[in-house]
Amino acid sequence: MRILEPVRDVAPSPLASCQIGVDVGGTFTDLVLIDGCGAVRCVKVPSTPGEPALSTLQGIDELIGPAGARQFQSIHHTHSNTLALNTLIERTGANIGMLVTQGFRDLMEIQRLSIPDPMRYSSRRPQAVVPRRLVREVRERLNADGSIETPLDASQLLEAAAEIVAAGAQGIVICFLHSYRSPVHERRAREIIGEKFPDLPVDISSEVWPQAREFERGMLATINSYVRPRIERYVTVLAQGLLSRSISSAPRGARSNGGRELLSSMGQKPAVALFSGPAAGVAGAASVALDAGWADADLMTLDIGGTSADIGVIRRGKPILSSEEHIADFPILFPTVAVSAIGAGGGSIIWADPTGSVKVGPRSVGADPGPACYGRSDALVPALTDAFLVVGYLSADRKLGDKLVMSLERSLQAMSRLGDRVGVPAEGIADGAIQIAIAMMAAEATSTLSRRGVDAPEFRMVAYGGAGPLLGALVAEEVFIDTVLIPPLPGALSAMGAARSDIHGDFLRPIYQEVEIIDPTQFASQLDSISRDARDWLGEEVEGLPVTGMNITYSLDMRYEGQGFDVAVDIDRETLERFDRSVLLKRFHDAHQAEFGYASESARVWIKELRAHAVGYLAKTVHAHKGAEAAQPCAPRARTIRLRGAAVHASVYSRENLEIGSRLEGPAIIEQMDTTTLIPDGWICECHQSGALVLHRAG
Amino acid sequence: MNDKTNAISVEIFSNLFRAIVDEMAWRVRRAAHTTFIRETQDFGTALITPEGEQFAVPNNTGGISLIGIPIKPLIDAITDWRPGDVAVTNDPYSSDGMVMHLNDIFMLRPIFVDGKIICFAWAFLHCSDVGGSVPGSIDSENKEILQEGLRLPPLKLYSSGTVNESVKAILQANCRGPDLMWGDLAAVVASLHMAETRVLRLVERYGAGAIKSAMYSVLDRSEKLARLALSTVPSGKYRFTEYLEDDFSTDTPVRFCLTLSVAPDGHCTLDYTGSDPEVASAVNLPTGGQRHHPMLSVALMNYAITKSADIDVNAGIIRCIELVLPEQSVVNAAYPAACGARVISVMRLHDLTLGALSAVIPGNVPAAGGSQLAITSLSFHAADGARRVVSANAVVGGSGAGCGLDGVSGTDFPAAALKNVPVEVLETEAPVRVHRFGLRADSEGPGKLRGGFGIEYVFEILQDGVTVVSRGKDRHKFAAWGVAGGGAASCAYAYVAARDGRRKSTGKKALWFADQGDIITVAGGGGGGVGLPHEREPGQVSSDVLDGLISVGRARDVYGVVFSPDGSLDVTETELSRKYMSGTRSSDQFDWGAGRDEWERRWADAYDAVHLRAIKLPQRSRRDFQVRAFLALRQQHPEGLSRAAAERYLDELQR
Repeated sequence: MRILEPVRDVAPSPLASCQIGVDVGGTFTDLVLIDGCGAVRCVKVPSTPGEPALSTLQGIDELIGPAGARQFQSIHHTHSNTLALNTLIERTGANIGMLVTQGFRDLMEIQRLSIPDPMRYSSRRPQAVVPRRLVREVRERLNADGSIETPLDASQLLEAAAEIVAAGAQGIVICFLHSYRSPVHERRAREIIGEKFPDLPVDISSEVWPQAREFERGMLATINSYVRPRIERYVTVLAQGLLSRSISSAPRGARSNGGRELLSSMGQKPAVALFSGPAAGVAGAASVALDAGWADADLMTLDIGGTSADIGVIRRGKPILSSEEHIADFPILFPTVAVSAIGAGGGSIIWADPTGSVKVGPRSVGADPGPACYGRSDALVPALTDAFLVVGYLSADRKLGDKLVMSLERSLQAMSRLGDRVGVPAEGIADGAIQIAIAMMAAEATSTLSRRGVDAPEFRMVAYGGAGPLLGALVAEEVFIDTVLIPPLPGALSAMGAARSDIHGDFLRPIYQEVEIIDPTQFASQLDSISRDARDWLGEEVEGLPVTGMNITYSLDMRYEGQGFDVAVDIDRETLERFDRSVLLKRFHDAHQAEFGYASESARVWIKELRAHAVGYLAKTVHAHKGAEAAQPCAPRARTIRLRGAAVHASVYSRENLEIGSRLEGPAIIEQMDTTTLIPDGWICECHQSGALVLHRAG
Repeated sequence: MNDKTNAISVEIFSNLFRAIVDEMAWRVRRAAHTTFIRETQDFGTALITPEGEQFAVPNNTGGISLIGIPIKPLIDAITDWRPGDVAVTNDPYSSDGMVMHLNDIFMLRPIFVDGKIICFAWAFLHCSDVGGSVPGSIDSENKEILQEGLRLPPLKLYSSGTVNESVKAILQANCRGPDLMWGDLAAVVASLHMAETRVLRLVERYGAGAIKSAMYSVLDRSEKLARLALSTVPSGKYRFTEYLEDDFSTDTPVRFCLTLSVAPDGHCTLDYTGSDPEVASAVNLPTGGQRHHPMLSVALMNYAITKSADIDVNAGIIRCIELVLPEQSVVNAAYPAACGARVISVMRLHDLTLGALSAVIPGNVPAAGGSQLAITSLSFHAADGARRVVSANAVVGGSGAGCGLDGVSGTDFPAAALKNVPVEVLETEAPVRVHRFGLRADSEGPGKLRGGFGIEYVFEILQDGVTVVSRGKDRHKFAAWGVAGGGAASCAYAYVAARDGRRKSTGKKALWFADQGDIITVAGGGGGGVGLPHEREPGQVSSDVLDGLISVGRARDVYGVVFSPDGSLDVTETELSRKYMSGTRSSDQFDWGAGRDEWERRWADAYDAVHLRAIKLPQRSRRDFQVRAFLALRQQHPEGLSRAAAERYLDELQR
């Protein structure tokens, strides 16, 4: 276990209450505990995929130690996990059936018609989560305005439901056309099925997320139904374990929007947590930047793990959310922290194409056998981690994590084998592969910024994950970023982000009308209903948490008639209540002008959706670190490393021996248990009092 | 980086270049105003060598149809390039077939280093409307390009950074929706400028020499990989014939002929000799006789990309794909042939090449696709009285089976980037109710690997006076063929019925003036199968039966898979039935489908005789002669006739 001590050990008492963040990954489960005055403990335990809650419980035991839960007045805990995502990717969820409007049995088969990679004859749509044999059509139809065209045929509905239950469905998803405008048929259908099959879980698309686009909405409802049993199992096993440890607080889950929510309410729609791990990481990056005094910062986040480099964007202190993300090739309409990934991480394979050109990824050696240096396979497939060892960024003397010893010899052998084929020495391959990985990440970063449409005068970077601190500064150079922050615990930032997350909820009401013909009374009732939902939800969520403030903000998605896309316009509640059309229109024209450089004041304007975002802010214990006891850092060791194609002499420090406020000049290497930070020449590293390392480009 | 060996630097620069074109593409997409650009992504960006080759192309956004197109004609057309210039053109006939129809607007900006052009930044976008006879500018029945809108020969839209107001005024005066169009163009111009600053930043960091050599290395690498992939096709000459079943103005087919020659080093020649003269409708391909052109090389490009998992897609791929294009033919049309609706020809050329490849490597490429590209749109008076046009789905068809996989249902590779319009969005925007958008059971080409299922789209018009346009229909008579014993698929169909079910129209009519209650059906065919159907895994057949996509009767009759009355697979009966089936069908032949079989039996020789006479005539009278002579032949001999009989008849006719 690692413990970072806070500077101030004054009131509030460290034992008053604590926040635990859990990140259940495929191989390891990270846990972070922040006590009442900001001291942080961190553990890493092997995951137990068969029963994922077990590794969480083991980690909690290690965190709170023999003194047990009694030492804290309360323990809050937030869980981010890949359960939902893996269930979806591996197609290991529940057998579910689906009821759709007559004429649309192929909704889940056809999807949006296109295929992922049209130039490849091997490309196919992702396999449907609900097979066609478990989909039935139902006689019913709503018009586009939500009025009834064909009434729901109750007996035919029951027949269809009975058929798919007989065929083995353990749950039913209902997605009727235009249910986002009026849930009347979906709700009635659920009632009817409930009477006949009282124990059968039934999900209706209008409740999950009432937005137009039948495939996307139906997909969300389907994912919920499909992954729910796995999530429920986690919650059940966790609850039993916590009870026996006298931890009585309700578990919360991290959401893909970077916030937290009670797992009990998340169980209704587990699809909101599909992307919770990466989202918590980006939220964690925002929080460590805040610790370092970077309020409202514009940041790029670079998380380099075993198989990929994930890039996120934080604008004015807040992670950028998107409603157009794809997860496992499926569209996700929920607002999600936008992260782009490229297949280059520590385990990415270095190989050569038939022309002798060296490539990195996207295939990975995986945790087993791992890179050649682990010595677990005679195949000697070189990975990026081997390259780090060969160029001297990593040292074979140090253990990786607790147990593994790396073999430089094996890395060199693997690199030479490849090198012989393309006529480059082993060191050249290693250095070249690292430069290729940097170029790949820089390209993805550039593409991400333009894709997100972010235009800030200056970006800084937060680099984390196993290899983020190694390559952060080098990637930053390629994308013209001059400042890089390395968090105190770069390997556990998702757990940290979960522990420190605020409460974030998103709500949506369909309007889908031209501004001039919207009935103000109807609009007012939609506004009432969405604010009531947001308020009620927030009220439940803050229960028992040290909340310092709450806020609900509103926005309208608007567009010119016939336009192919919406513009989100933030509007305060009072303005919405007054519903002065000229004010709303002016706000839209201004927003359109600002984003696209023109406004068509004579054109008709539609309001597509009314959105609300509810936030509960948690008390922030500003994490602080007092650094090493020693007045002087131990005299650094030194070793020769290859940097940008040349051999240079780098000083080597231990992170635990660095004093707050000390400045190190590159080229230098800072080693700590779970990661290594590289300070290239031309860069200066400052040990910030928050415990972070801040790298600046000199000059 | 200068000391880097090529083994390392190619991949580094490939990524750095990609960052620039990706950024260009996202900028265009985010800033663009028209639905066409934002939703269907019919636009492209690239970096171009001074010789006109696209060396960097985005890999996650933008269209794919023009990847690799040679830009040399536009580079050469401007004789006085200066920094800050932006050249523009949309005219096939003054750009040697670089542009392929007037809706595509190409723009090019030179990037100078030390007074010399190091490379160009390029972009194109499909403009929703450039004037002409119909909204949207494309009408398959147009006969001359002059009906298809404004032609802009290569000229400078910006000179040294200043907009050419005259050109802008002419452009805006000649299209429907001038503000939207200019908004899109402005987004492109901004992205070209951005590309210049990014390239100059790379030059500053790595030096002009390194950048210049990397441009060519990246192209060379893709060329080598493409050659390696194509050299897996046994060398030799392979012939194939494919048809558009009619030419959209008469019911005479359009014939495409191909001789594919593959050399041991992967060099391929696509010789289109024997293809029909240019036709009097908008399906001509104005290729300018280019030696390399992506639109006539789609299947070979896709094959190379499929075989070479990690290839950079750029113009290097088509360096080894050489074209031979007969002059004034449908694949090399001359001014003033119309070409707006050329995409349907591109789809048939895709099948044509797949056919030639299937002759030698059956199953390693897809069988024929059931694809048409029936782009459907509705034009109506909205509540405010304004005329509005709403895009209402493209109806394609299933792809052929191949590469070890069953075909894709509902769409085919040349059109597979297109998304559908959600019913909920469509019904909110237009007076229409969609009854069905779904797969057609039993429509697949059967096989050991089956083709994709076709698709049926049924919608009802909810007010009077709605104009329904659904052009680009094909495969209504000539189905997608099957390979290596695999079967042909079902055909496409289309009809209009009144609410009471009475049919008001059938067939391929592109334009329909609909009244309230009219129910319109547009269906796309299935894709062809590969391998003998009775060798398909019974479990796979049974899975399709369970899914309701293949009927019990078809499983028994076509696949030889028999089910017991309780619905379970009857193993004994299945074995018996399959034993009986084996030997009834050869595993080395194409299945053309009934329509093409019958047509070829009756008319193929006569058609060829007419063709050979037609191509000897002057340009403007060729197709006219072909259509008239063939029509006369068919009237005289409705049951078909031999070549000799046809020659005698034609002798008489020509006298």
